[in-house]
This record gives sequence, structure tokens and C-alpha cells, in this order.
Amino acid sequence: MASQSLKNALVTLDYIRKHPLMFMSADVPAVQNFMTGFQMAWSLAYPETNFSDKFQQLATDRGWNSTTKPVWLLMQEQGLSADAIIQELLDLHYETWKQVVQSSEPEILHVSNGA
Amino acid sequence: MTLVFKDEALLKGLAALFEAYPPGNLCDILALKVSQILDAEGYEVAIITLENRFVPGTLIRPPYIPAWSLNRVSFLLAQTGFHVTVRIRSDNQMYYLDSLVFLHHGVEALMEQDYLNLFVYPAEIEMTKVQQVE
Repeated sequence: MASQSLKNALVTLDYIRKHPLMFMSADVPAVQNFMTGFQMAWSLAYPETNFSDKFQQLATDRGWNSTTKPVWLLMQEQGLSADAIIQELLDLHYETWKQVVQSSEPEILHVSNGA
Repeated sequence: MTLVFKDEALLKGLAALFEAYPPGNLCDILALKVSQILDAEGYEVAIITLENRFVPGTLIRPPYIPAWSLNRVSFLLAQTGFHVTVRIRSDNQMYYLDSLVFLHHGVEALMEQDYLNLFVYPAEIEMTKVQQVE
């Protein structure tokens, strides 16, 4: 797996979550669409990242547990404002990518040891 | 501190232009027209292009430039990746005037930091092109 590329994705995602309005309009569907596109692009390039399972697990860990509703709808039902939902969605994606990068770390160590 | 225009005819002419070109619409044409009027009145003006800075580690500039509305709600001032404004030099100070300034202050030009504070992410705004008006 291209760990450096994944780390770059993480840096970019961190920038996006701190400046979301430079990339998407300030409504939940727009954020959902943007992040789906981001996730799809990287999953096509690196299918072994298993993003979806990690995302679902992390969402559950953070209290957004449902198999039938999207997490943003759960957040809405819990009374979160649109701004809070957007930030939580971006944080969820960022934290999931962080786990993806961390899970690829052994490979980096392996390469380093072999050099 | 703002740059105030005292000539009534100039004020009316500029106000009419800003009303014809509200924020988020044809900023380059507006900047050209405003700069020509100010140049004819003897002001030292330039047309400035603003863009978002590159995303760190990439060659990508984010496409949207969000700004604040009067009631402090964000809106997309530019969806093309750039915004064009007019810069006026007066008494060794630089002032900025465009439809965003007009929305907040009427026909007065703002100093740079005051102008940038009308944007949601002022630190991310970069002036990428300066076109002198002669």
C-alpha cells in the first residue's frame, strides 16, 4: 500500500475539515457528496484500505450506531445543528483515514527495516 | 480607517455599478468599470485577482472563496476559484473596493486587513495578479 500517499490524503483531509467552505457549500448533502467522492476515489486507488468497515466501526464507537440510517440522519435526529453535523462528518472521515494510515504503518517499518 | 469619496456624482456612479453587479456575479467586469471611473477621477488604481492559497503539499487551489454576508452568514463569493477587486493607493495606504465592501460599508474603500476580514478564511487568501490601470 502507498503509505505516503495515504499520509498525504490525511494531511489534505485535515486541511479540508478546517476549511470546509472552500470545497463545498455549507449544507449536509454537499458535505456527504464531497466525502463520498473522496472516499470512492481513494477506495478505487487503494481497495485494500477497507475504509467502509473502519468508518462504520468508528461511527458506532462515537455513538452513531445504525445499520439502516446514514450517520448524518442519526445526528439530525439527536438534535445536532447542520454546522455540528458537518463538522462531525468531517471529523469522522478524518479519524477513519487516520486509522487507515496507522494500520499501514507496519508496512512502512517493514520497508525501512529492509533497506 | 476607510477611504471616503466626497464627490456626489462619483458616489452615485459607483453605487449604481455596485447595485448592478452584486457579490458573486461578474466581479471582473465590475472591477474594470470601477477602476476606469476611479482612474478618470485621478485615483491610482489597480485590478487585483484573489485566489485561495494552494492546499498544503498539493498544486490544488480550493475552488470556492467564501465570504461573510451582512448578518454574518457565509456565502460563496466566488465559485470559479478567483475573485477580482479594485485596489486604490491613497496617501501611501492601500484600500480595497468591490461589491463585497459595498455590501458591508457602502461606497467606501477598506484597508487591507479590514477587507480580508470580510472573507471566511482571510489567512488563505492570496493576491495572485496585479493589473495596473492606466
